[in-house]
Amino acid sequence: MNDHASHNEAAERRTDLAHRALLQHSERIRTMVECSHDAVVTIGEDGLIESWNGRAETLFGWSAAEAIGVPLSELIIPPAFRAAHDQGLARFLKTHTGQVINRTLEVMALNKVGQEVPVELSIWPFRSGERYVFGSFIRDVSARHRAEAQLRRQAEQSIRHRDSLLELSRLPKMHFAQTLDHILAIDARTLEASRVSFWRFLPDQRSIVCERLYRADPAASGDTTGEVLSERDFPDYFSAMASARPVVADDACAHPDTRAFASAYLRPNNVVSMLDTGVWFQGRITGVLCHEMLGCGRAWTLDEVDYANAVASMISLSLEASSRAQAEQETLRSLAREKELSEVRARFVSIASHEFRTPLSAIKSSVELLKDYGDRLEVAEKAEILGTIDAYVTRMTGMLDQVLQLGRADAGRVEFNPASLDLPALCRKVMDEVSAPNTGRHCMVLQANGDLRDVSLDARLLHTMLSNLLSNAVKYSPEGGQVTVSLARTNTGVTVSVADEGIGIPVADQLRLFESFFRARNVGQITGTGLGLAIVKRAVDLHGGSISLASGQERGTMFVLALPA
Amino acid sequence: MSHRILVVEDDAAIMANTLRVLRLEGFEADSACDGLEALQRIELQKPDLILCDIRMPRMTGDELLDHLRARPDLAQIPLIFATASAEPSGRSERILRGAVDYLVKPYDFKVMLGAVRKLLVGLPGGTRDGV
Repeated sequence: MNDHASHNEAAERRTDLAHRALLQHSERIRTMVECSHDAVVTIGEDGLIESWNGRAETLFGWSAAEAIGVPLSELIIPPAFRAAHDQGLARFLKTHTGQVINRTLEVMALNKVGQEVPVELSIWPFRSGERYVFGSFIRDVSARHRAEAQLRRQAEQSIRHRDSLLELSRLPKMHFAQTLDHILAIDARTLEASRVSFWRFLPDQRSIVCERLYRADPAASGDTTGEVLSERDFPDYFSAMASARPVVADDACAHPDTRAFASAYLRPNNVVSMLDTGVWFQGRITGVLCHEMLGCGRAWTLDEVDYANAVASMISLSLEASSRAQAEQETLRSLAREKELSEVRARFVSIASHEFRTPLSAIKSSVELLKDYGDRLEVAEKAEILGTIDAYVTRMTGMLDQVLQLGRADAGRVEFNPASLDLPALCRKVMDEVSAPNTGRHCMVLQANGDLRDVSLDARLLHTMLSNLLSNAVKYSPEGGQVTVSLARTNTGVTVSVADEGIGIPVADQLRLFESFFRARNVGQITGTGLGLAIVKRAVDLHGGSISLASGQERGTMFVLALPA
Repeated sequence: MSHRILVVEDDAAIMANTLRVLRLEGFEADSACDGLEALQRIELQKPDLILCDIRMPRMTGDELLDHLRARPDLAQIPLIFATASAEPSGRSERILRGAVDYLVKPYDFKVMLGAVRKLLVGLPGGTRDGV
């Protein structure tokens, strides 16, 4: 019996030990479940919640007391998925298989305040006695989702920035203003900024002026084009720009670099956030690329600051390309000008040499006659030939003087010194000089309208103009003809007209009349160099005036000078 | 009978001197102050040779030459240009158009007379004076 009793005792002790071990084990499992970082929830075949751990309470907001006994689908499954859940449960109970069993999947769950929360869910069914129990681990993955979304957004932004920079780099950059408009528009679209503007430093480097502005919504924002901001008023901002430091002001009214703008610029324009970067060209800051958010603020990201810097570099490139294109065009223009000048010079030399050969030929033939045939010539003939030599030497000397005058004028070596002068008196003096060698052969008349005794003109140039026009009038009109000089005041200066009753100038020749060595076709035997009017034209040009004529063959000629005075 | 030369020239002094030399050398010399007057004179009396300036009012030497070459009865009259134009291409251009010689002013009378005589050798009508 002892044996038997001790046997029983031992059996009881073993049962007790086993029972305690079981209890301990169950307690450990319960603690593990309770302390789990995942929500652990079990439901029965009827879909009612049977267990609800602490994490389930914090994740969904319902306490275990509130949750247990309630259909799971009503408590945490969003309405759209409830039917599917119920069908899945029924199918499992019938077929013992299911699509969601023994897998981890991501679904949306509903918390107590009605928000949908992304969760990772795994379900395992197990038998408990005669029935199935479904256990599930539910993990809140909303933080991971947020991080993933953030990463995705960053990736998308990087791609958008990269595409935008590619587009900017492909822009033709010859015409700065056009390129800039494109750059600002693309920039504003990419950064979703309310306004993007380019401000250029004025030559003193102490102020910037808004040169170009892009507005996402022109109706909702003011136009700051032409506005000027000075270093004197905003030293912090200018020193940031000078040190090549971008100004990243999420709250521009509070940011140390931009708060000085608050009352004069930010508030009136409703600017909340700014992102400004300097535009550098040839080693110095030449402008500022300015991004502004109107109405609502913006937390600029590092990527966005990098992008803004890259856009500023694009503007620098465009400045460089356009300045190079401009320099090339200027070189081409000056080459063309040089070519034209050298053609004019070549033409002049060719015509001049032709014009000099004629008097030289007369002189040479005269000399040859006297030398080789002198013994066979009459005394009177010899005298006539000597007279020819004399006359042609005088003519050549006059031509040389005129060529030199033209050359000086063309080289810009004729000075223009306007001074107060008595215009009628000067005209009378020149008229006397011109008529002296032709005493009494023409009737010279001077008409003056208004007070012209104090006008500001260059006396020497005026003398040149009048003596050329008057000697032409005398030379190309018959003896006894009248030459009329009329003077008048105008709003801007004076007009001087010289009219004759001479042979006139054919209309076809009037266009080329002021070219060197050009003479009208009807001059006949009247000598001349074709340089006088070219000289007059240059003197008029130096005055900033104009010369016009009214004439027709055999109908007299009138030249009109309009001179600012 | 001596050869008849028509001098076409718009500069009065050059004309006077050329006429003097030609007459002193035994030629008959007539004058015309431009191409148009020359044409009128040629219609009245055909010269044996024409000594002609190029740049003249009303009708240039080039135009006169074209007129003459277009007229079968006048096309054979030899024409020597005497011009102040010193363009390098001037000479070959005028020879191609039918001028027989091209003198650039100022020229020696000896050169002019040499050219004239060379052309008149063998032509009927020459008498003395080396022709």
